[in-house]
Amino acid sequence: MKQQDDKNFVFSEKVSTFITEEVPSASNPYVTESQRIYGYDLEQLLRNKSFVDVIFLLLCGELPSSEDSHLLDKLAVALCNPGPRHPATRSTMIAGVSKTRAGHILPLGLLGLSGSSDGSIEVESAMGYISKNAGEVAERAGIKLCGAYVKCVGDSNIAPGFSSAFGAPDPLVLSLATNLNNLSSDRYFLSWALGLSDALTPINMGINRVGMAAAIFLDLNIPPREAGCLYQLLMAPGLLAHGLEQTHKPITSLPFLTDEYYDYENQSK
Amino acid sequence: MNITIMKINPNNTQFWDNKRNRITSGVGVWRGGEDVFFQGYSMKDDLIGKKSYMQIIVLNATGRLVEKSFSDWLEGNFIGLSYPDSRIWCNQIAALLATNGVSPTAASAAAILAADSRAYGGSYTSQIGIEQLSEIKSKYQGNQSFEQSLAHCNRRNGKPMINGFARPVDKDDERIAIYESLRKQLSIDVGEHLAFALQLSDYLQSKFGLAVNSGGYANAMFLDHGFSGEEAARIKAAAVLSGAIACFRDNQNKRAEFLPMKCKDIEYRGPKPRPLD
Repeated sequence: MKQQDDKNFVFSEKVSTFITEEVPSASNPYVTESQRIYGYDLEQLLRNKSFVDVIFLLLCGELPSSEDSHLLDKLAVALCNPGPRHPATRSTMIAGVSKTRAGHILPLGLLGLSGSSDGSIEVESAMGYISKNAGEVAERAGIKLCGAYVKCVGDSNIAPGFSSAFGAPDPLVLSLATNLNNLSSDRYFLSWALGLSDALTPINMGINRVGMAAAIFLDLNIPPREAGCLYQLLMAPGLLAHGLEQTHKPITSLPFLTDEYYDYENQSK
Repeated sequence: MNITIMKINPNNTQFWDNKRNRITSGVGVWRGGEDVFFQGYSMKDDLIGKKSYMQIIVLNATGRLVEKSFSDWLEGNFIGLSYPDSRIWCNQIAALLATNGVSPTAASAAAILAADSRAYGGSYTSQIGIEQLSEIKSKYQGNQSFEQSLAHCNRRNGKPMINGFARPVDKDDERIAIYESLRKQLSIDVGEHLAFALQLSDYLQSKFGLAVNSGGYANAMFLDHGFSGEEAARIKAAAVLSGAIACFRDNQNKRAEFLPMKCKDIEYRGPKPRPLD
C-alpha cells in the first residue's frame, strides 16, 4: 500500500491488535483454524472458563483470579436488569411494541446507557471521583459533600456515582452493593463507596447503580473506558428481554397519551 | 432436469485476493485537498451552492441527481416525518435518552433505529409499501377487481393490511392535502402510480374505512419517479431525525422528568414470588 508521505498523517499498513491471534488454515489463508485470545486457545477457554472470565480477559488482557471472577459474575447479576422503568429499558420496550426490527432493539437500548446519567460517561467519572477521593476517610468526604450541597428540585448527583433516586437514596442499589461487599474481603473501593453513601444519608443521597459498579470496577482493576462500556454490556440482558417481550404484543399495548394529556405551552412562532 | 455441478477448488482464493487492500467504488471519491466527486459530479463545481441538500440525499442514496421540483416535494415529505411530538415512538425514545444525559447523536441514532419499523418511520415502511403498491397495481391492471387484487394481502380485523393505507394511530392523515397542494405548486403531474393510489384509497375508504396516508402518497410519488422500494428506504433512512432532535431538546438535562413512573405503573403479570430450589 502506498504511503501518502506528503500528508501529516502516516497511516499504518496493517491492522494490529494485542487481543486476538487467528491461526490460518494451511490450505486457505482466509479461514481460521484456531483462535487465541491474549495467548489462550479459545477451545481451552470454552472448556475451562466462564463467560465473565473471557469478557474480563478480552478487556483487561489477563484472566481474573477466582475471587475477582466471582465478584464480576455477581456484579453482572446485580446489573443485568435495570427494570422496566429505566429509560434505556423503556426505549427497548417502546421499540419492541412499535415493530422496530428486532435486531435494533438492543443497540438502541445500549445507546441509552452511553450518557452522563446512569451511563458509561458517568461510570468513567465515578471511577475518577472514587479513586481520587478514596484516600480520605469516607465519612469525612461525605461531610464535605453534605456541607457543599445545594438542594435543587428533582434528582441530582452530589458526586458521580452518588445521587438521589426520586428524592431518596436508592434502597435496592444500597442492598445489592452491601451484598456484593460481603462476598469477599479487601474490596477497598466498594467499602469506601458504601461508607461515603452512608455519610450522604442526611441529604437524602446515596450510592447509585453507577457508583456501585464503578467501585467494583476499580477493585477489579478494570480501566475506566473499558469499565464504562462493560457497564452497558452487563445491563444488556434486561433491556433485551423487556424489549423483545413487547415485540409479541400489538402496538396498542403501551399507552399513547391523548391530546388531553399533552400540554403544548409555547404557542408563539 | 440436468444439473451441472461446477467443481470449485475450495483453496482458490483469487476472488478475495483481488479485493484485499483495495476499495472499488461506484459512488464517489474524495480527492484530498482538491475536490470530492459524487457519482461523477464535482462538489466544488456542480453541487455546493447549486443543488439542495435533499438532492444530495437522493444522489447519495440512489446515484440519481433528481429535478429540484421532486426534491422540493420530497423535502415536504421529510418535514411531514419530523413531528416534534414526543408521543411518537422514536421521539419518545429520544426524549427518554435525553433524560439520561446521552449525546444528541446517540439519541438520534436510537430514534432512527427505532423508526426502522414495519409500522411507521418512512424507511422500511417505504420498502414494504412500494412493493405492495406495485403488486396490487399490477394485479388490478391485469383486469382483476380491487377485491381480487387485494385477496393476497394479510388481514387484521377483516381489513387488508397495506403499508401506506392506514396509520398506527387511527386519525385522518393531515399531510395528504398539503402534499397535493405542494405537488401542484411544483408543477409535478399526477403519475400513474399516484393516480392508482388515490383510486385505491377511495375504494379502501368506502369498503374498510382505510385511506392513503403520508407514506402511501410518498410511495406512489417514488414509483412515479422511477424509484424502487430499496432506493426509497435508503433515501428515507434517517427521515425522522429532525423530530427526534426536537424531542431530545425538550428533555435535555431533565433527569427522570419525562413521564416518570411509579413502580406500580407497570402491571406485573408474571409468576408469583417463588423460592430458589
